[in-house]
Amino acid sequence: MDEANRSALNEFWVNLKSVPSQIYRAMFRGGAPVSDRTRSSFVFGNVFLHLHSVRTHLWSLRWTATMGLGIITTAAFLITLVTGVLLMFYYKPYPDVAYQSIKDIHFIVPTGRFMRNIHRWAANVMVVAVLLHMARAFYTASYRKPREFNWFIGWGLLVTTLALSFTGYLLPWDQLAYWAITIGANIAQSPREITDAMGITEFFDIGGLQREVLLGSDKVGEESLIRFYLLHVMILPLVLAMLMAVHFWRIRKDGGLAKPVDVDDRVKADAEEHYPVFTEEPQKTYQLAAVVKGRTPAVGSGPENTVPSMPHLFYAELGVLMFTTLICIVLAFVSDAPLKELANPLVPENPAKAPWYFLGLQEIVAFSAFMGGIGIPMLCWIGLGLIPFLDKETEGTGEWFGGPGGAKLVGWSMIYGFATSIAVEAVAIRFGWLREWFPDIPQLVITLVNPGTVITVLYAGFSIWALRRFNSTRAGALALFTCFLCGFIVLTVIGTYFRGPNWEFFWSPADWNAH
Amino acid sequence: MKKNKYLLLISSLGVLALLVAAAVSENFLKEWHAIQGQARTQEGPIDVRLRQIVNPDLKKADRCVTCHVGMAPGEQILSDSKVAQPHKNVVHDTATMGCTTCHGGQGQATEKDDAHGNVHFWTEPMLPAKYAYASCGTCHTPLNVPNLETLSTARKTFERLDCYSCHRLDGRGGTLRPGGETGMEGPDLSHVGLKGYNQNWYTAHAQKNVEAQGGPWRRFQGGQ
Repeated sequence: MDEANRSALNEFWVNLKSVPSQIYRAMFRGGAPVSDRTRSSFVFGNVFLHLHSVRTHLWSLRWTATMGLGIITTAAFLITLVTGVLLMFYYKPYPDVAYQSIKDIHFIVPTGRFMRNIHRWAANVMVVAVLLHMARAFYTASYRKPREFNWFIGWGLLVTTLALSFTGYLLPWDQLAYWAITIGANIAQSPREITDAMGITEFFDIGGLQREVLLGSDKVGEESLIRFYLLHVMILPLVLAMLMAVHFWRIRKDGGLAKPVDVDDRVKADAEEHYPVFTEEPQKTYQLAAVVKGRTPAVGSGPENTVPSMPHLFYAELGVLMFTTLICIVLAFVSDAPLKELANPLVPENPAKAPWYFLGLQEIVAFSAFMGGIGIPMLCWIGLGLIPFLDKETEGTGEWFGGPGGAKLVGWSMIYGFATSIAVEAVAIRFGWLREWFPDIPQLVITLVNPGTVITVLYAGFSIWALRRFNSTRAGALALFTCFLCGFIVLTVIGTYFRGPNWEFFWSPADWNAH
Repeated sequence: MKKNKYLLLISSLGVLALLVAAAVSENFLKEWHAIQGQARTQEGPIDVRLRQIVNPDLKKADRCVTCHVGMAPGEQILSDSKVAQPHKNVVHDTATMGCTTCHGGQGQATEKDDAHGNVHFWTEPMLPAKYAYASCGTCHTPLNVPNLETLSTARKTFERLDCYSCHRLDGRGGTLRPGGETGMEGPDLSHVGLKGYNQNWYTAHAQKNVEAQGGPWRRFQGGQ
């Protein structure tokens, strides 16, 4: 054996021993994140992390800046993703068999019931968090330039989240699922109220078409189940994941979270709390800034109020992720996901209720299917989408309840929003509505004048008053958004807790059983 | 950053603790673990595992024998607790036939209340043992099962007195609503009697008819 051979063998042995550290170095090329430069490369060298900016402003790291609501929504989505995939191993998307498989998940799949509970709770947490996140973005005026498009994406994410939750509702194939989806499908059919009144349903049945596209049949059956399943486990999660990627990436491209103009005077890095900033000369130069269009990079004001995203932002994000997981798991321990009797098309649930986030709409649907199902939701939808293009003011960006009127206006709007919706509902509950007073009244009149539209008009009036009083679109938007939020809460609570058989008013579900 | 670190630490510990708790309770602390742990055969303790009788013809998997181990196929349990008893000899082979076809209840369940059907959303609770023969008719319609005469008398009475007009029974009837179009439907009677009877119920019901000034009650025997 000659010298060369021996050293090759030696080298082989040394290489073999260092395989783990070599793999580590190949994966994390920048090295351990200990300096400013390696912390940055830790972020931009990682396909998932580089959706973040490498440095984060201290303003955005305060808990009150966002309440972590966006990350809570993301975390809830990740939890439903993991538990959902686990459930897919046992779930069989076919009527009756589906119900049996949920029973099996419940009773004999190891921790199956627990996983289903977490899935259900995470889904609800996600719906609540996405609504609150939207409210946060609105109240901090974060939809303003240059973030208009990201508000749009968020708008799409809200719809996708609701659609995901709604499609999942049918899958257990129990009475709750079956009749909730039946209600949902009837809401989709509600344009018929208008086409019937105009006498054109025969030629132009948009409502019937919507219902048929949703269900794949004229009633909730196996076609609906497979359709909802496919949407729930594949199409909608993919759509959501793509929109989320764009949403996160745009935050970075739009210059991080919205901040007040004078933000640098308001926050100061705490030397004890934060890693020292810009300890070394950056090795990466930012010459590109010269050719990139857009606002000039910070000139004259230093980056001293930003800290490295690794670790400051990532500890915050991981903390919120684990906190959300904890919340979902605790809820899963406390309360089981509902599973009623096997779906039976012959025995309607009474009351049949849609998922809770649609009960506010169902409350209006009880008077006018079109207004509750299509008219008012569309109005809210379009209004939300247009806000960034109508409010072009700059006052109060990045601050809670920022803008003319501020927190005080929001407070008054809350009082007005709750009072009006409760008052109108109280009248409708106590004295009935037009149909009870004038039995022969055409439905078209009720379509135009019902508690839903009356509340909407009252809110719009208040909003116009606020707009003129403060001479600001933002003030009008603050008033309107707050009012609608309150109305949503009032109608949802009434629909959930105070409506019993035949959609009659009851103070408590204990009084439901009339016999 | 300290706040966030503490949030991460405490949440992670909480999650870990709860996941361990769930795993332990799932694998060791279920009711049937304890029941099977006490069961003994001549050769000693039995395997603690989920047991079921699968009947492919009836599309049933009855897990009742997870607790009632004495009735599991091929088990000879020595201890004399109630759940260790073997099934008494009947016309069917219980080891292949399964349990819920005759007894009702929820065969898929592995917890007592759920399995016996004493839960809110299970429409077929276990029949009281003395009424188990009522299930014979599920498969053997033409045969002369015990008490068939009582059963058919009851059925005819139900038709004759027009109970179907307001009440629904196994998907039939219940079309007439006393309060008009929007009135309440009569209570569904499909599952009445499955959990036993209040002997005085009929008298009380007839009394309501006497007392009522108007309302949904039709004249029937016992009324005015």
